[in-house]
Amino acid sequence: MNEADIATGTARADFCRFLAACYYEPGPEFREEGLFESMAAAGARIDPGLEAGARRLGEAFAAEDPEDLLVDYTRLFLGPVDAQAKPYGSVWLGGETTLMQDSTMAVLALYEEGGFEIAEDFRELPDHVAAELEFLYLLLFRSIRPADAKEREALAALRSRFLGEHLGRWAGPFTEAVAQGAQCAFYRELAALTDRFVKREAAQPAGH
Amino acid sequence: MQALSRRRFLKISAATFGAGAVGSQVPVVPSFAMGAKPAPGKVETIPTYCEMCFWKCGGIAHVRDGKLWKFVGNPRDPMSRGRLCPRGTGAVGSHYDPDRLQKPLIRRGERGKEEWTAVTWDEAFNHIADRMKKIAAEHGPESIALWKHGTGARFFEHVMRAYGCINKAAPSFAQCRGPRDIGNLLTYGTGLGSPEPTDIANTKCLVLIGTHLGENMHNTQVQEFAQAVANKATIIVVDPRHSVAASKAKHWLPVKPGTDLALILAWMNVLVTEGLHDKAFVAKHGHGFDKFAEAIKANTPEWAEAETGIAAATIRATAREMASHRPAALVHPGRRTNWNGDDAQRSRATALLNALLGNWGRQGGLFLQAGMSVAGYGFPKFPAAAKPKVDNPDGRWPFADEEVSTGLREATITGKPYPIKGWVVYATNLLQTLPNEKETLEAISKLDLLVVVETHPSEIAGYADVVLPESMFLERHDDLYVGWGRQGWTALRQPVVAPPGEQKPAWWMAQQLAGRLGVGEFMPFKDMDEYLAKRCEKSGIDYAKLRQEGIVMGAKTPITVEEGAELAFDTPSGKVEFWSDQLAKAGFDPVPKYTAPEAAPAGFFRLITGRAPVHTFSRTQTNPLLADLMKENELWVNAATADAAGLKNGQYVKLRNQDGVVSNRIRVKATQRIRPDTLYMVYGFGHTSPMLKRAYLKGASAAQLNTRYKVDPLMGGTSIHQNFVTFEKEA
Repeated sequence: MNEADIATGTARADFCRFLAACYYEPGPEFREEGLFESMAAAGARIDPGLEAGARRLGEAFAAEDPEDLLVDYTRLFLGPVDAQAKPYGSVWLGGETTLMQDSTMAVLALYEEGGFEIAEDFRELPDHVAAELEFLYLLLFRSIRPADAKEREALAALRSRFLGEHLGRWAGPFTEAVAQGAQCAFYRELAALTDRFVKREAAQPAGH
Repeated sequence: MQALSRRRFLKISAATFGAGAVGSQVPVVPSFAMGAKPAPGKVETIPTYCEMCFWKCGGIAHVRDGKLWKFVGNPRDPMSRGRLCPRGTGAVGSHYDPDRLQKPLIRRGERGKEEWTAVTWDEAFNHIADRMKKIAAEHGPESIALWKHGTGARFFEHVMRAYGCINKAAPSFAQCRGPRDIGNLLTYGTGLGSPEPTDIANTKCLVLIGTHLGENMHNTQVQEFAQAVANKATIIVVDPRHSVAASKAKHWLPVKPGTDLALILAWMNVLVTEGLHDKAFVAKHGHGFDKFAEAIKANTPEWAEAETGIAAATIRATAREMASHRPAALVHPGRRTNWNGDDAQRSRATALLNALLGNWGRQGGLFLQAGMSVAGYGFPKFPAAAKPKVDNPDGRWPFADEEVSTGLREATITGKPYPIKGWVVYATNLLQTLPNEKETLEAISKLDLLVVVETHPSEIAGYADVVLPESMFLERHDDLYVGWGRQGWTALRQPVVAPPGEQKPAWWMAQQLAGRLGVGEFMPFKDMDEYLAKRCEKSGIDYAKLRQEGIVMGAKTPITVEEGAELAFDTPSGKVEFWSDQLAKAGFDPVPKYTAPEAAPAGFFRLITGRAPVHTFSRTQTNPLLADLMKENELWVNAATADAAGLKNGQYVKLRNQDGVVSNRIRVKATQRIRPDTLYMVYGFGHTSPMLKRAYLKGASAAQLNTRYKVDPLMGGTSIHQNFVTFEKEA
């Protein structure tokens, strides 16, 4: 991999990591840690659309009352009854309308295959959108400097399976539901950005 | 890499060092509680235990700038494990509910017309004490009875007992867990209490008979159920309805309502005839096993198929599957088990099935409950009772070990064995709790005094002579909760915010009343702080620390055979009673016997009921946060049944029962997830108290339709699934 590839690979991994972070409960640390600036900087190295989206996301976050963001977050993702956009893969895949289905166990198996596990304190299901985005980040991160060709191929295969069977299949309808249900501009922007990024990753040729 | 705290954000990480190249680059994420960062403002956190339902989870209230902000789980608490259910979280809504009771009220108009005068606390207590003294002078203090539910009843019970009021009843016995506890008591020598000692987290096979975990939000068990699902435990669900739990099950057995006992007998028949039961457990701990085996000989799967509608092959397969996992196979004993009026025997059959699986005191089965010894405050001795209690005359229900609520109601109606002229009703909405509303109203018509202590204007409050507005649990002290579980614990209830109006805690009301009744020496403490501090001091509990942490754990003791616990059974034989001599002696079946349920008249369907995860009984529908989640209940109707009746999904319909009682309107949920001969609704809705603005006439009341009920001959439990209903379309 040449320097330019390494830079893009790092930017993709970073962007993915920041995107995952946006799906945690919104709080002041989003701002404190410069999340949106970092995200825009990473986006700039991938695609101007991602950079512009990340800037709009940051502006929307700054403009919103933190309490309103929390309310929107709760309504969209938690419910507890009729959450507008349930952030779990199993809800969107193959007509499975409930949680912890076969697809959930399958994605957990993929994490394990990649040598990863869910943190004990992550009180969420394995196919939560943040977990799946973090998994994609870890795969992208490891692909920047693989030990050898064999590892590169294995990572590419895992990423392609993951996007083809999991995140890539449900990110579209999920982000559409977020965009429809959101009352804050922040979550509408996040939906558009997520859709754009995941589609872009899913369209990457093998080995990239 | 750009900065982003892994602690806060990254929740996936390398499993182990050496698992891949990334292992050294992305460290394992250390623990960090999510969402703990407060919003702006001065935030105080105060632990207290929840009373949104009977589970009594430990929580932590967050008060921001002096206002109640949120209530979350207390990680130290073994019940919540740091996570509350929607109702617990929604407790904030009960504090801010604009419709809650504000001031003491004395009735002016006719009873039930809801015409009141707001009075001072002094006027209210003087009025109550005068009436109580008058009743006591004419009939004796025994003629004033207490109805109760929940923690706050404790001091009302105490003061009334001190005054000589021996009669009381808690509908949580005969209208809920009573049959289950008596079935287990007769078998193992102990009831199961609350929370049930079910080791769901470690079971390999969980059988749920009508228990809809996830819809009934028994927090700890729901969390463990999720663990069991994640562990790939085999789940077997017996329910006429495809419940949420059934959606997680390997086997869903849509049993015909009222035939569960036939299924349980057939399962036991398979285990015994195929020799799959735990023979060592039976040999060591069983009493009368041979006579039991003989008694269930005819209950073959083929026989049960005709009764239950479940294929004999499925009955065999599920029995074998349970046996293959024993002793880590668990049949949940249930909680709200009063369905058919013979439920203690069905619960006993469940207990016997568990015994055949040898899961008593075993991992993945029923563990032995561990408690904690906490000293009492030290009160004077109560005066001796001069008369017997009225609720169970001549031991009509010989195995009732608590008071029978319909027995107390009946005595109030008949005046026999002696008149009951006063009721104090603490936090139980008798018009929705007891079967047959008409009988409850008739009993009320006999009273000279009806006092209702409530947080919100429930239906029973509408009939009260005096209404005492109680502060909700986040605004008050209560007694300690001493819990029994895998390890004993003690939880503290302490006020976190002031009540918004003149509401007062129950202990204070009881103390005020005690003074006026001349039994003030039974409430000798200045306030609850003093009371609680003394109990803690006597028990070696650091009260200051308890106030900080909310929970103190007892000693860890062995709770399973695997951990070295010894099994002992407090039955007459000292063993697990497969054959019950005491039942035989009292003229009952020593081994449960099945009776087929009555068939529905043509055009009628059996109505069954259950719980919703966002509401408790009939008391939370007015809570604005919870009403927002679920405003009304739905009527589950099989899609084919709905079609045949010309009903569309989402349309409103009324129900008429076999006695001609017509419900409020309810929305149809047409679904394949229920048997065609059965209708289902969550109970607690269809409120008729106009003071409950948010809940008034929203949905239908299952209790209103429960006019026909059977009484359990063993222990006085009353049925809730013995009514047939038909559709009444709206004009």
